[in-house]
Amino acid sequence: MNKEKIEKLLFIVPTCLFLLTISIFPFLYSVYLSLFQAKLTKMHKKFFIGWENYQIILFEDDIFPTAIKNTFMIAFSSITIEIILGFIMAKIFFEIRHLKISNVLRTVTIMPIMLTPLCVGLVFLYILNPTLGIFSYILETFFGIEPFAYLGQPIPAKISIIAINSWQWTPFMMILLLAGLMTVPNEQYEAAKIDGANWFHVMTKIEIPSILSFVLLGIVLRLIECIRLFDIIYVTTRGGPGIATEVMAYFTYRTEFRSFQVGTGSASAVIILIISLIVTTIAVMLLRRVEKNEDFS
Amino acid sequence: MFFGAFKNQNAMFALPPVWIPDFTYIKNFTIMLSESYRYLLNSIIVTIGSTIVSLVFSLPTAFGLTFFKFKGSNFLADWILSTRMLPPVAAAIPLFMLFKYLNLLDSLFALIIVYTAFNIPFAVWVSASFFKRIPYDLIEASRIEGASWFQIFIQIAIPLSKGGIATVAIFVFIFSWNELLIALFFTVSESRTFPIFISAQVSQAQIIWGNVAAATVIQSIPPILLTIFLQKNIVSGLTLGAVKN
Amino acid sequence: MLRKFFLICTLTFLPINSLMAVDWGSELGDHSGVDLKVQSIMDPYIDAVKEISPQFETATGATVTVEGFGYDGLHEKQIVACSQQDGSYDVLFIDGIWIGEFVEADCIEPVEDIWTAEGTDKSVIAWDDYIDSFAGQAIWDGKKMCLPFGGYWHMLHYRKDLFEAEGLAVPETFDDVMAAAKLFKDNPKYPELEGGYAMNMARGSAAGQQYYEWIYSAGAQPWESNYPGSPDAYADQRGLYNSPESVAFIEWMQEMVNYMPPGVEQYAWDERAKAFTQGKVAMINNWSVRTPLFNDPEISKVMGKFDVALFPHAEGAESVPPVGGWIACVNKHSKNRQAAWDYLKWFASPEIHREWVLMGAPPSRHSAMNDPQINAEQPWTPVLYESSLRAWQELRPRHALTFELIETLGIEVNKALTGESTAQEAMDTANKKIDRLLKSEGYIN
Repeated sequence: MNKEKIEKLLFIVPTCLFLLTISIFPFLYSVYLSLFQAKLTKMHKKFFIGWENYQIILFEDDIFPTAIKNTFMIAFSSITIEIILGFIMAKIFFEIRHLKISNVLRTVTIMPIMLTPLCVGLVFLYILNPTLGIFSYILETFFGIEPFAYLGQPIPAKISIIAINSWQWTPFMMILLLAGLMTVPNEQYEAAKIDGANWFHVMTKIEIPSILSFVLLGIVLRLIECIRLFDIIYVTTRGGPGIATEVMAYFTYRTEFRSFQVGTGSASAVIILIISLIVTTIAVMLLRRVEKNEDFS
Repeated sequence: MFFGAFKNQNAMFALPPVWIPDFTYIKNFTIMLSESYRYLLNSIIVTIGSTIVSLVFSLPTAFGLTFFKFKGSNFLADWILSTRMLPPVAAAIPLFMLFKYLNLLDSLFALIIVYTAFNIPFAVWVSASFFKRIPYDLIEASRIEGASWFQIFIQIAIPLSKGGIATVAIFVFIFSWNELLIALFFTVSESRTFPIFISAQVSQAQIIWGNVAAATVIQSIPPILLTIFLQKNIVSGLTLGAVKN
Repeated sequence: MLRKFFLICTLTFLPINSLMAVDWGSELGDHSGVDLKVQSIMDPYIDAVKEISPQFETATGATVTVEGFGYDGLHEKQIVACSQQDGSYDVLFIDGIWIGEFVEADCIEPVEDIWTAEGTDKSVIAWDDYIDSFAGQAIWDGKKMCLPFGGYWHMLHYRKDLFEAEGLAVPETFDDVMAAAKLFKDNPKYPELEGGYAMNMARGSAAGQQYYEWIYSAGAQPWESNYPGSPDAYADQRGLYNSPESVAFIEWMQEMVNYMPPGVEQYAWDERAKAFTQGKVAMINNWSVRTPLFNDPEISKVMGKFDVALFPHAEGAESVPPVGGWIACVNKHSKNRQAAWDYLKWFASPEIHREWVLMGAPPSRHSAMNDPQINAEQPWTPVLYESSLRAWQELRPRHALTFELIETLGIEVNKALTGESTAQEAMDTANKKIDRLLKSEGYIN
């Protein structure tokens, strides 16, 4: 019995210890550092200043609040686009699921998710380049719009980031929603047909209710990704123009690793952590729920 | 829309950039590779290393969480999963200090450890979702025959979950292959990975698009191949095992 | 033999102290087996560094690896690594304005200490041969920390052919510049032009540094005690970023944006130079390091069609050409400090500097500026020399917080230029933020 207990512990304990050092330790250390005026290049000279770092980034400075706002604005817009486009695509794939070509199409479709975000950013940086890019060429030749710096103007830059983000992640939503559609029992469609329900009724009364938990899961998982949004910003706009595309992760990186103010940076890291913890708790709950649904179906 | 985007990429890569007309397509690659093969090698080592280490840590844990009934096992599973959701940027400086203290900055080992840590939660969760599909009777029968948990793990669980393990491996692989932020913090010279090399090419001083395009193509090869050959596994991995094919 | 003869010929044209032939055999140690790593900016001069370094390899037996990085990436990598006692790179090429930060992070082995201990011959170092505005970039707290090698000065670059065709005089003042830019923007006579002028406007270092580069010639100054000729530029650091002259300058730039090419809001050093090389703009202000590119037949469409002039100034103000450039430092944590020092004194010496300049790098010493062959190959050298003598060494502030000052300004200036805020708002915010930063680190009360 005792031997079995040890054996069981060996399965689980090493991983837990590993995760403790990598997840709990950083959190505590961030909280600790966030109470200091500290520079990475002269850590031995740090001194305690209490809550001042939080005071500065949250209330005195406009950049971090804007970064929070931008993060959620980008998250909200791109997730909305992803759900709408994802739903349409899921419907298409659902309809053609028996065709051989659907497999090939699906492979092509999910490709963007797997691509290195850095490279995705680079490709778009090139496409959106006002003098070299294909995008401005198309706009100019077909619509007569003079090229301008799409990433150099506040609103077009925001739109570009949202577009890149949605381009990469719509397939993810599509896959989740497709899985949701698959759970709709065939009889329900047949019954609707007999009742003479139009497509709108089918969508609102049958499809949406059954994919709702998948949509929620998708939203939460994507929210988590959006909170981390970094690579694409890093290669395309670097938070600019001005602070139009400054997001939380990039702000933290910049503060900690370009200005080396690890005290202030840790304060923003702690805030990001708290926001993620809330989102994560919801995510885990939803995952459990979806998993249960699946098991029953 | 997606086809269009891919065509654009291809067009960008296939044509020699017009503003450097003397460069040919192949030449971009050779120049770029001669400068960067060590970073490519670093990327390969870190990616494969962290994939293996992640599996070694997470498979037993997933097995334990699935088959050992103990108080708080659900909570433990949730906690493990939730660590996956923490943004890497929030952990970067503390880990940086930790590895500095251990004198491991700028080492491939440090990158492997950190990437493993970021991947374990996901790996545990997804492999657990696959282990759950193993009929419990099978396990029980072996227990009665006197097999140890370790033997069951090796002889029954792993062979029956090959698909799941492949899924996990793909995702850990892609994560480590694509990772930029942590590498930005942790690497100085010897351990620079390929994405770091690429991002250095587009810094504000001088962009040589020919080289960048060649590097982007190389960087994209593994994700593209994996997607083509293992599409089914990817679908279940993307949804953290919640959706099974 | 021929080389030696040539050397003697040139010597007769030069001040005695500047070009002594050094016996490198006895000056440099044997460093066989050492792999010396040099960390450098990816500016155009890097090819010349790679080209000349094999000479050092032959002389000492060491191998030299030169690795290039982009501006921000270089700063990040260098300071993070060396502040954590990392010795991966033996020789650090740093921007002169970073020096305070590097000294504070305990990264640099001061060259003055090394040459005093070693008793190096003064003619090898030839410190007096450096132009003052540039030599100052390598001094911190009165001590010579690194060896300057790549001095840059800003000049106005303009298209001689277009200005002659329009009968325009060489622009001297901001008004001249704007009038000319306006004339060339969207001018049907010159369809290949996309704008009259181009500046660095990208968020971050590009826009932030540009502010410092222009502000003196605009008749303003960044803080109370930083003005050309100030005895102690850092005595009183209370900010003047929102002074009427400073705001007026930002407003001038806002208007200038209209006469610049599309996409200028994202221009940094490379884009600015490229626009000129491609013949897309009629004027730019530019660091001298990129001037040779405009005469490179392989990439330039404006070869022989451009000329240079002094940096422009506002009405009633004087031209204060920006000075910048790269200094070579010995990484304090390097394991090959002796080899690193030997490389430094060899590379920065007047003799090797001259050879390096002739490979297309920027002249940075009096001797190089007066060298006939350099003057023949880089015909803009006289204007460059005049700019270098007029420059003010604290123009881009050499402050331990300089990167943050620049970053803060870069964001606010960029906001004003893209219309996110007005010039007054932007500079008020910048002033407030910089004040708070300086207070938190105890530079002002």
